[in-house]
Amino acid sequence: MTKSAEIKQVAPPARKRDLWRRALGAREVGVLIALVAVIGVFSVLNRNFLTVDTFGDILTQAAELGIAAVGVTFLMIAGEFDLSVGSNFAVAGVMLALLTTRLGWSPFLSIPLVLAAATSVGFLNGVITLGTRIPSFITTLGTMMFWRGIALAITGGWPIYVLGSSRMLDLLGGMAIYQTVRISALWWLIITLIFWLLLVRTPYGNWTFATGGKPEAARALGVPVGRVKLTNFALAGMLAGFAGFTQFGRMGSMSPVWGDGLPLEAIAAAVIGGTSLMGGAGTILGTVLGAITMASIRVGLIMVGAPSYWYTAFLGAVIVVAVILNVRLGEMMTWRR
Amino acid sequence: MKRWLIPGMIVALVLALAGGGTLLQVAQSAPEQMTFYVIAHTGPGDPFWAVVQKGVTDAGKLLGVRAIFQGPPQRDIPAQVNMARSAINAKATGIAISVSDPKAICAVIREARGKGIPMVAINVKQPPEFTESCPYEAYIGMDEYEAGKNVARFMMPKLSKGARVLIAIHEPGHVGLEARAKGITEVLTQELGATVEKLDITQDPTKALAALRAYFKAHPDTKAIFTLGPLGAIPAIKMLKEDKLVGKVFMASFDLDPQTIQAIKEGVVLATVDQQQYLQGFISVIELWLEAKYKLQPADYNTGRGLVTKETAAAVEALVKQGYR
Amino acid sequence: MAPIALLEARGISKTFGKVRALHRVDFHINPQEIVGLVGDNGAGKSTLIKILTGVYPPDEGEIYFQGHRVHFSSPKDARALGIETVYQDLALIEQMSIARNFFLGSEIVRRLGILPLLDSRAMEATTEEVLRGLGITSLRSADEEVRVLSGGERQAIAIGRTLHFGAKLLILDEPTSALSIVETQKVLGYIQEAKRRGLSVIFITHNLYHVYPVADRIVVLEHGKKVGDLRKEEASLEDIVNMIAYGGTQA
Repeated sequence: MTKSAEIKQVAPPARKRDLWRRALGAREVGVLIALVAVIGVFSVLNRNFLTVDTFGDILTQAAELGIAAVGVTFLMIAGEFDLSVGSNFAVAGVMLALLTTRLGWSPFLSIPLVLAAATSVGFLNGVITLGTRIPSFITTLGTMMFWRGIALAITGGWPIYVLGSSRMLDLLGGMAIYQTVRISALWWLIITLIFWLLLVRTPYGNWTFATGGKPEAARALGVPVGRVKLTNFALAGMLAGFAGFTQFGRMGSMSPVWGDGLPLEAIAAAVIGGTSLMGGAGTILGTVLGAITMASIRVGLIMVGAPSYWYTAFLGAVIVVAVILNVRLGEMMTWRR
Repeated sequence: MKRWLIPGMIVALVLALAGGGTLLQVAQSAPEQMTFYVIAHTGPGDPFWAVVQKGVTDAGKLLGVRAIFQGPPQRDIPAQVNMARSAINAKATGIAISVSDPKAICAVIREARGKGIPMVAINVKQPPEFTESCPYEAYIGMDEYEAGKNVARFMMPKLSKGARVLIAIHEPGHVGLEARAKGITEVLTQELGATVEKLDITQDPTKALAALRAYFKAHPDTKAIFTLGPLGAIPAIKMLKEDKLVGKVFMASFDLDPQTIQAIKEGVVLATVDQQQYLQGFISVIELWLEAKYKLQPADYNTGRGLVTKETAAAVEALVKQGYR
Repeated sequence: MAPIALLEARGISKTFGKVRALHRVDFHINPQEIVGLVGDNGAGKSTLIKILTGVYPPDEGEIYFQGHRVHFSSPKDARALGIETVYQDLALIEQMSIARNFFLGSEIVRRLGILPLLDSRAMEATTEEVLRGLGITSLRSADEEVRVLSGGERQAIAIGRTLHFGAKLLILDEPTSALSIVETQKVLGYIQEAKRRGLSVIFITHNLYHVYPVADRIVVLEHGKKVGDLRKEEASLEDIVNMIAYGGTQA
């Protein structure tokens, strides 16, 4: 007790400046600046942009991407990628649709079952990657195609519809909880909180950072590097599946071709939010802001009447700017000592 | 130098955003204007949709209103839904939308109508088996299923009983394409006893060509091939020519594009369904404008006008080049 | 004299293919002793260390820990006895905070139901306390990332970690090789402080001048043989330099 009191006495003079420095040095600063700029500009260009309705739509779009991106972020921090999240997303959505419509299974059975299947798909990515020591960028490229093919095969290419209203779909993503804000945004919030807690406040999160930052060092200190990666692959799979559920819930139908652009968009959201492509660094909040930025650009461009192709070009520019901001701010904070 | 980097970049970002947006804004409108959105499930990267876009733009110019065509680069229903929702938030005067996915799109249509925004359907309508309410005011496009039956009947005299027929589908799951395929399949199997097979050739022309070749290698007895749009027709025409199958394998397609018309003139393709998609863009904007301006109720408009064959190809070709067909 | 050595190796030989890396080397370290292990590149220093920490088994020879014969089949066995090695390439992760590095793999947690939550405050307080105890004055907060630290401060974290988790023997592989003179002095200070707190230290280096000020004893290896084992009271710096230069005899 007395010792910690001593330390506190030493610390105070530096605390205030520390807080300011820490705020500026936080990995989320780059994306926050980008987001504020995007919102500011679109609000000027279209008066209807800064409304609850628009914001709700942005959140809904961001949630479906963001749920998957949270898992991808976790995995990227551990130094691995998963390009198969989009296919997993489609397989999970399609499986849930098939089980609950064609086979008439109860959602209480189907949802956990399909979620477990999505988790296994992620786990399998991990097993293949770690077992073969082939970079996950390659192994998951393979599984991405494989699972997309499976999704097309089990549906014959057709989307699956749920006719009439469905309580399950409402709860998964269809229901509006406030104006245009849908329940998927709430799920996203809950998932974000859980995974933020896991990453920042538990030994497991610490191991995840260490695994991605310097695997040999982590191993030398007794961190089960392989197990951490496997778990993160599984978590990424589970969240990709759940993201598929929310889109299924919102659309009321599920097509085996959906989620095609998801893997790269999820990586983009993470990178815009300050997650390192090399592993070892990243934040959940950054990814959340990244996903919201991407959705804001998409909504904003359409609202000002720009042809939709601008989105891709625009997003590319924002990624580059946000990443440069992230890197430069990080360097500045280091040099200022 | 270093100190100015971050603020400099922020300023650059804001300027780029503002500059890009303002240019578009200035170029397209004063804020009080009526704004119409036409939202498709694919964008003008597909030659078919480029014609629709021209129809939309022309109608906008003619009427002196903002008429905006939107579509994702590749077929993407969730993206289309998101675009429609953005148009609703932008308080559009009227929206035309392709009902590419009845469940998802009809939900958007219901919401827009609930907010008092006029809605019409273009290109793909609510399928008959879909019973939920889908309150669009009019459908401007063609009946896919009937068109499939129609083109199949046109081809029937060329085929013997029990012939093998291939339908090359470039977007499996696309409601409209599947309905076309269904129409073709029903006519040929029921009225001719044909073996009809569906092949996913993807939207990538190289992959499509390889898939078609592989199929013909496995089934050299195939007598006819149906493609469901330019994305399927172009590789199929290439294969028929390169593998010297012209005259042995009969081909029919959907939609007009320069290559398909050329192939009709050369006799490689016997017929193609012209759905006159320019009208889908043009008429939808006109009808929505008439409703906004004079409360005139939009009416169904059948744009499907039968087949383009060797006899009519030359006349149509000139109009294709100008982007109207 | 002859207190029981903390770690003793007798007659260690090791050959890799045709290369004889070690030939009948005797080595020991007493409790609370700092031994400098000196020799040129290829003299056999790292082979000896790897045998003492269980990375390789010796071809010949015996190892005793606190008087008991031991057989290491992996580095885990050595670590279980309290032998910690800090390699040149430190086991620190740059993007993580000092405290998180310090406790990596042995985090302090508070349980919230089934969820083990990191006790960041306790980890930071302990880290700061241990590092200050070693004599670090420049530390602002254990919450800062490791990448902002100097090479010497990083050594201190590794040393402090060993001390805190109850190791008995710390093996430092070239801890000063990449450091400035000032930084080197600081690290030597940390090593002495570690000794004062009961740790034994084997300090491997090819630079005698770095280890001489803190070592109690210097062991010189050359071509896989031990050519010198001198207590500091018995030999001046010049004696040892001469011995290395001329391959002198054992004192």
